Amino acid sequence: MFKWDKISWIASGIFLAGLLLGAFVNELFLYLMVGGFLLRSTLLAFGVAKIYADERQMQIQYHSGNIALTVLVVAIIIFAVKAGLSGKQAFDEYAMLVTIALVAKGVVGLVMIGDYRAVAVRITVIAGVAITLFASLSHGFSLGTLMEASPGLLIIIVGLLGIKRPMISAALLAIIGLATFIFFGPGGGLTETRIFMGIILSLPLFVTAFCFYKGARIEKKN
Amino acid sequence: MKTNLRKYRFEGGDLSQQQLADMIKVSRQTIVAIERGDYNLSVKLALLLARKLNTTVDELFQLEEKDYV
Repeated sequence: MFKWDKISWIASGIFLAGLLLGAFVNELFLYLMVGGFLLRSTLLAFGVAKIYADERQMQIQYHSGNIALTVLVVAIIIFAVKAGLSGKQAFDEYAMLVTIALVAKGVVGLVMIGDYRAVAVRITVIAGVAITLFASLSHGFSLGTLMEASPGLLIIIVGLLGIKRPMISAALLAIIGLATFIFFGPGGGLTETRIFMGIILSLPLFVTAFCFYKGARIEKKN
Repeated sequence: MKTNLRKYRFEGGDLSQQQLADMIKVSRQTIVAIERGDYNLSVKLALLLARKLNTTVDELFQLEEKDYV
């Protein structure tokens, strides 16, 4: 499909390095081969290597990516059901993987719509409501619930503030995002829960901060 | 969508699919897909093709009855 070009050489290099390091150093290096495989589509998706693909090839990349996501999510669900039926307590890990995939697609899709401020409000309200609901469902209605739900409520308020004051919201969300990143970040060890929280909480906060900022800049220009 | 790309490719100097693809910097498969009517190209690519083949987009591509919603 593609001509042999600069990306092919780099991807092949990464693939080969993964293979050799995986064979002679540690088998975990074999995951580098995935990087080699996904290099072209990732670069194209970020608009870095557009000269290496025409518009139809780009469309094929996007289309195959969407199908791959669906196949991946269905596969994870099948594994989760299989693990559940065999009595293994692996529900959380599988649920996290599905959530990460869907949150990533949802956030990126919303951002690409282009109405940055509306998107930022939507993401913050959805994230805030999700956190609040999660706290409520975990502990019922109590003081503990209120404490645990307060970050969610704060995110909703900051998100709604962005309708009138986008720059203030951008700054506040960046600070909250940084705080959650430090709280759940690699400093406390790379546990599954910390990685999961980092991705579903810190990432949307940084993205919404960027959206409020970008939206305000565009409106100022116009 | 009806396409006359093949006809104009031959009229415009007997170009091969690969030659035309190289002229507008797309893959040969993309030209094949456009000629077959399997791919709805962008306005930019349609304009580029028309310019390279010394014709107009209207001459190259026409809507068919089934295309009207």
